[in-house]
Amino acid sequence: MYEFLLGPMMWITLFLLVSGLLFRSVQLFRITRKTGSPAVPASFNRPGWSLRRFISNNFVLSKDPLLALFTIVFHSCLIITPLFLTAHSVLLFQSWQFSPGSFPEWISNIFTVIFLVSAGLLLLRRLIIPHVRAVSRLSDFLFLGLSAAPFVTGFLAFHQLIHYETIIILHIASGQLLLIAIGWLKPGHIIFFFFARFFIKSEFSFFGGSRKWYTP
Amino acid sequence: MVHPVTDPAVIKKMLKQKKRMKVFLSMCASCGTCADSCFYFRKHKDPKSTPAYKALNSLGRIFKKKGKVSLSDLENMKELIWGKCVLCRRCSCPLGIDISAMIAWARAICRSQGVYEQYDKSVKG
Repeated sequence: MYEFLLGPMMWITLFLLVSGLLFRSVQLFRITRKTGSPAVPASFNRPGWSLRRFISNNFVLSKDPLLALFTIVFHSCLIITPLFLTAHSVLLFQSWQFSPGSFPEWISNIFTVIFLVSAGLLLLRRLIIPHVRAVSRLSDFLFLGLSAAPFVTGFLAFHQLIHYETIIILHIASGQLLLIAIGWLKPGHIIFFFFARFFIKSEFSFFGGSRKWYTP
Repeated sequence: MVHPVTDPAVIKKMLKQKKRMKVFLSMCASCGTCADSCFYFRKHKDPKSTPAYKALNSLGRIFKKKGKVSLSDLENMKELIWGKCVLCRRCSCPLGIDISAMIAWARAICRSQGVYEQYDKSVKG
C-alpha cells in the first residue's frame, strides 16, 4: 500500500492537481473577456494610498480582524508547513534530487500546532455563530476536516504516537485527497480568489483588473 | 398572472446565460463574512438575511435542481430575494463573488415564471 501511494497514486494525484488547476483557470478565462479599456493603476500606486486607509477600507480587516488573522494564519501554515517540512524535503531529494530546503523540525511542529488551533477555531466559529452556521453545508465541514487530516496524521506519525505504519498511510492518502480536491472541488477557491481579486475589473479588485465577466 | 407550473426549459436557458454564477456558487466558502456588509442583517440579525444564505437558497437551489423547480419552490424564495434584500449591492465577499447579481438573477427567473414580489405586504421582511 505504501509503495502504491508513493508510486502510481502520487502520479495520479499530481496529474489530477495540475489538470484541475488548468481546468479552473481555463474555465475562468472562458467566462470572462478583456475589458478593452486600460487597467486602472494598482491601488498602492495611486496618490494618497496608505496602509492605514487600506486596512480601514477592507471590511474583513477592519470589522473582524480576528477572523482575518485566523484565516491568514490558517492558509499560510497550510501552504508553508508541508512545503518546507524536513521529511518531505528528504523524500523529494531521494526521488528527484531536488529539495526546496526545510525548517528545523521544532518550527514545523509549532506551525502544525498553530494550524490545528486555527482550524479548530474556524470550526468552532462555524458551529457557534448563527449566521455562519446557517450558510454551512456538510461539504464545508468535510473540506475543513480534509485540510486538517494531513496535519493531524502527520503530527501523530512524526511523534509516533499511534501505530506508525497505519498512520503514515492515512497521512499520505489524506494529503493526496486534499491535493486532488484543490483542483476539482471547493478548495479550488485558491485559483478563484487570485483571479477574481486581481484580474476582474470590479469594486472588489485590488489592482483595477483588465477583464470583465462575460454575458453571451 | 401566475403560471400553474414552471417552464424548466426557460429556466435552464436563463441558467446557461450565467455560467459565472455557477462558478460563484461552487467557490463560496460559506465563511459568513458577507453578513456584516448587509445592512438588513445588521438591523435584524436574522441568519437568513446573510447575503450568502439568500444566494445559496435562491439561485443556488435553482442551479442544484438544474432548473427543475416547482412553483412552490419559487414562491418560498420570494421572502429571501424580495423580502430580505433591496439589491443595494453593499454585500461584500472576500473572494470577490458578486452576491447581489445572483439575487437579481433569481428575481429574474422568478419573474419569468410569473412569481413576483408581494407588493401589498405592509411590513417588509
